[in-house]
Amino acid sequence: MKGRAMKPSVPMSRTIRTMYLEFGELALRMERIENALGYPLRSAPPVVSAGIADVLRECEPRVEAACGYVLLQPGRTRMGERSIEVEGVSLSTGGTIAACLRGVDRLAVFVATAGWKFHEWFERLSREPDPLRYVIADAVGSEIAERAAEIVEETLRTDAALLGMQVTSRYSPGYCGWPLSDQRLLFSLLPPVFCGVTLTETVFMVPEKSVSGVIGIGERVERKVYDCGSCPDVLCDRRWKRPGAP
Amino acid sequence: MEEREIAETLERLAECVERGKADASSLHPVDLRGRDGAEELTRLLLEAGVPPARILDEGLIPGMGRIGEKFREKQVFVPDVLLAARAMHAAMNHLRPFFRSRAIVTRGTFIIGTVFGDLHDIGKKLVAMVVEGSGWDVVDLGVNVEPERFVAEVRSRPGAVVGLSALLTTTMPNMRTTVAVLKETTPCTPVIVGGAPVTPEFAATIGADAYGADPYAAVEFLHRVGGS
Ligand code: B12
Repeated sequence: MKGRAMKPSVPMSRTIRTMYLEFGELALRMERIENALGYPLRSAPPVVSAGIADVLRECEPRVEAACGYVLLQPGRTRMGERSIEVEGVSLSTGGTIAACLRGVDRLAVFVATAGWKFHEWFERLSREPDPLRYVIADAVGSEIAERAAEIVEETLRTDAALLGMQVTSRYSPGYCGWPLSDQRLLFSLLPPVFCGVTLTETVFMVPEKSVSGVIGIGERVERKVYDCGSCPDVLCDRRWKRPGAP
Repeated sequence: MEEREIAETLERLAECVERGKADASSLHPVDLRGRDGAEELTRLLLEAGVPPARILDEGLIPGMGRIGEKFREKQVFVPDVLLAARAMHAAMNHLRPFFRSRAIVTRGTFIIGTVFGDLHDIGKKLVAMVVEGSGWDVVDLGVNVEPERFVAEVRSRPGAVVGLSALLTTTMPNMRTTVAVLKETTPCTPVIVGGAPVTPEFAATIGADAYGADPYAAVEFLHRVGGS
């Protein structure tokens, strides 16, 4: 149609990006791991801090962390009060997350993982008679998955900025009243074995040290602190935490 | 050794367990470096003719009990509990022969596992360790455990108490199935459930006998319902 200006285009198809992360890129921080083990800043006993340093050294060659996102097709995102429909799939995010995603143009589904090699090492540790090392490795694995999730969020922010868009925080099934059973729908939106992660029948992600979720992108969206005021989950470990805070 | 000295040594042993001082060579805790640890003190007490059951009841178990209280008050954390368990373990190496000769008897058997469909290991493993440190025989069936395996294990250990663990809301229904099968086949078996998303209300609706937020809840439950 001659004369009618087309809006400068975002691509009409999906964008898929996967990243294999170097250990150094994860920039793991001692104090976050200590904190995950329960200790307030600088209060971990030296034997624990030394144990963390040992585990970090030992696991370095065994970490093949990965993360990635699938930026779903534009124009097929419909917001409800308590749900969001994308590419014909309706995700029952609940009111808290739906409110935070209001105004998004496109939705990205992401996965982040510490990877299989770490998983195998961690499983071996579980059979060794040193539970302290096992517990430290557990906290390290969780932190790797968390960092990988932060990296995928940061990457999407940079990528979205090129399209003149902003991003929301990341939201995961199993949090903020979003039923965990929706993991199956979420994974149906991803290529099979995305980043090496699969879902069991009971929607357990394997490898275990993995995180999944969604991030919205749009011209006028913002990255909010979780709106915990309206969430009934008073025991949630993320309650009133800033996204990405230790 | 005189009685007063024995009592003092048992108290020092309890302190070593509580503070995670395994043996003289262990560098933790910093202020006890170079001093005897749980290993040496247990040996000393045995050599002085103190009955192994007394060492267990008045040294090791009180030490584990105290670290447990501090854990519940959030003064110490999981690694501190494990350091205590490590010290306990060092002492137990000397006591194990007496278990075999039945000079000490365990309080009973606790069978624990993560329900089928769930692969989370570490929570139930911590429970197993603490329960063991409180003088129970523990059978850890691992993760992804079918109800039939629990039943078979209970049948081969009459009087055992069962603990079930789950990590995700989507595997909690399998907890319900497992409790149902256990209650049908071995109705007298006490069952306690726990894990991050499990609540006391859920435990009640599925017919479990108790809910435990942490390993010490399992110990309390065991003392209430089972054992010698
Ligand atoms: C660390 C963590 C992670 C890490 C590591 C997870 C792992 N499994 O290794 C990472 C970041 C990878 C992660 C990912 C996810 N997580 Co997560 N995670 C946690 C967190 C903060 C701690 C879990 C933990 O390992 N604690 C340490 C261990 C030792 O504790 P524990 O297993 O709970 O066991 C203790 C007690 O529960 C108790 N206990 C356990 N079993 C038993 C049994 C008996 C008989 C008794 C008496 C006691 C008992 O004693 C143990 C020792 O104190 C919890 C929140 C919390 N505060 O619990 C959420 C939590 C478990 N995660 C949750 C969710 C939803 C997820 C994800 C699905 C999110 C997502 N969409 O990506 C994924 C799932 C991963 C997968 N493999 O499928 C939910 C699960 C509830 C639900 N809605 O189903 C929780 C409860 C957070 C919440 N929403 O409140 N997670």
